[in-house]
Amino acid sequence: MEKTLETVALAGNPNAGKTTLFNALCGTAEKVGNYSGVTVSVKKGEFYTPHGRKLSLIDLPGCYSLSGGSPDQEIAANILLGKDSKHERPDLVVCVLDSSNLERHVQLALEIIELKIPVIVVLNMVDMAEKSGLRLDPLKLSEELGVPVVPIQANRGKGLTELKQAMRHPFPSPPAPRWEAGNAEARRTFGLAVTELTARRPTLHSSNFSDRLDVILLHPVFGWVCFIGIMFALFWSIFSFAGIPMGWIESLQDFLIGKVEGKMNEGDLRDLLTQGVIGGVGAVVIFLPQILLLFFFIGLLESSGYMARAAFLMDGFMAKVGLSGKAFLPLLSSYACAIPGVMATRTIDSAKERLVTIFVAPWMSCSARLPVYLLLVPMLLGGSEGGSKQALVFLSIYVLGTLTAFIVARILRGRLGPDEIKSHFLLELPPYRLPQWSYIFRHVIDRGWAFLKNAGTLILGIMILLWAATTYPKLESDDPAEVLAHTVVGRVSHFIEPIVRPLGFDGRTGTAILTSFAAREVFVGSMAQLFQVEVSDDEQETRDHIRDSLAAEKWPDGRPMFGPAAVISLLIFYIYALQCLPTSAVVAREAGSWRWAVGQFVFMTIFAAVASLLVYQIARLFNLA
Amino acid sequence: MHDWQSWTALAIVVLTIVAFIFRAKRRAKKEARGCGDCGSGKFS
Repeated sequence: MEKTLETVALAGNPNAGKTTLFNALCGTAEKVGNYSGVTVSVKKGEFYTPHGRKLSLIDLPGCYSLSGGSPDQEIAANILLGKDSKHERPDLVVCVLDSSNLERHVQLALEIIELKIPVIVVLNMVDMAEKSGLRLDPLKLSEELGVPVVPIQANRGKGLTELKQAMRHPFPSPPAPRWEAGNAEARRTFGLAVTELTARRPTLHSSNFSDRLDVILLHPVFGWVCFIGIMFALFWSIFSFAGIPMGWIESLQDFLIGKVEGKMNEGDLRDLLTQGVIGGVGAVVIFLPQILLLFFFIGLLESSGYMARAAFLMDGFMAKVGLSGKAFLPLLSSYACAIPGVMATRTIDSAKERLVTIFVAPWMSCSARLPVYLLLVPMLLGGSEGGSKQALVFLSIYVLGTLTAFIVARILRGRLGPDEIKSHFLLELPPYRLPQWSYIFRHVIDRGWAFLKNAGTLILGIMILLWAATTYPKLESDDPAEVLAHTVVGRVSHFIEPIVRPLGFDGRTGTAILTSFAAREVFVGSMAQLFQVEVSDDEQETRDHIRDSLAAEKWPDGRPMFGPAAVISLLIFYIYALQCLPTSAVVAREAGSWRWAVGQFVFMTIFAAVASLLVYQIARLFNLA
Repeated sequence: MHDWQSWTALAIVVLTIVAFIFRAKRRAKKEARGCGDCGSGKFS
């Protein structure tokens, strides 16, 4: 195979700023965060040196040494050692060090220098190191290590030109180590001596802003109060701030329906466009503001450094369920989306703990469930969107998913037995940093665009097919119920009604659940179509139209179809069911077997159905049906 | 089924089914492409 571009690898300890540097060099928006273990797979990009030379850049997962135990560290070590079959050994390694933690980070640089490949050392976040009183001497460090040393500030793009200059051809030749190569103790002693010489600390340690804030945020009591307060504020904001942009989307929807109805006579195509395309897709797209807000707040938590504190707080609790604090970060990431959460389990050393975390991660409610919750929670409380009561119910939904995940993890962990090799949870608490606003906004826009693209392809397709299924075969009759019963949906509903009835649903709701196995949020659009929700010309009235229509539905005996018991039962089903094929594909890959993915899907679906059944039947006993 | 609207609607439905079949075949050839909703998890 002919090699086209020379490859530069970014290596370093976790949370040294490698991906921030990668984004700055390649102009990408790969995920960054102020905690260890954000990057767990190899990212590739390209960039040009000031001399116009194109180079290939790979961003490696962070590792503490080349003999690290977790899968993400193994990936990095194998590539650097030239043992990876998918990637060639890099021609140059840029070793990224956090300037504030030089004594620890320099150890990996020394190990990489021993590999006899060209190395450039980058001192990142020099501004923060100097702010804390550290006096750095990059020239001296370069002399001692025998490699070029470039101080940079990757998040501000400072020092990038100097770094690119250092990458000019020919690459710096690998130096001869000034310590006994292969001897870990000699390397450690040399590293400490070099740090002593090149990074002088102030004699008196004074507590900084992060230390002072941690006194409260890591306090055994106040820490938990703050954690719950932050989570509550997050959900309250999602409910409260999204009202205005949701109104704009509704107005656009009304405008489009008005235009189509004004220009076209009654007929199938007009129905398809108004009910299927605009009504169905619009019912899902309307929740875009809330999804953007969720990603914005998660981005804030990730980049500020609070995620690591949350993991620290949870460590004691996690130990009780047989997991470590290391498993909490992947679980926390799953609140945005289960896929990066499942992938983030690569940071876990213990194979058994990793499998258990992968198994329960989809129970952390992801953003795709948000539209379903946003439809059902106000129905439960009998009001429109907004308010602290709904935020509280919302928080409870997330807590319920999380607690169930912990209980099942405890049982599974017990069944799998203890680890052969005991691993310990070591967590770096990074200093609090101001969020990288440009990254957060770009990240939020990317996620929003992906959501809209999905709505314009998969959801649009499902809505068109659903419209067809509610229209064909046709029956000439004036009774809408008779016409619907004759269609494909009518027949499917009739068939599945006896199965879903004990859970509190009629056949149409059962059909809407079936369609949402392709994508959860399809449920909202399906309900709008199946219950034939009409969009009013009056903007004020349209806001709660789906909910109003559902609330007005009655069983043949006159009881409301969507009383508290049925709504809670639906909520329970969506909290627990795994309706996400991409997640199953990633689980199969990460667990190394499709059996895990299939087992997880079957278990979660049965669990959701049984939980729903129990909740509905118990609620009926209390006359909540 | 005698007016142009019915035929056009039916054609759209058939085209959608064909598009779904093509999509399924194309996706089967590729590795995990990440989350359809938010684009997370696209990796090499």
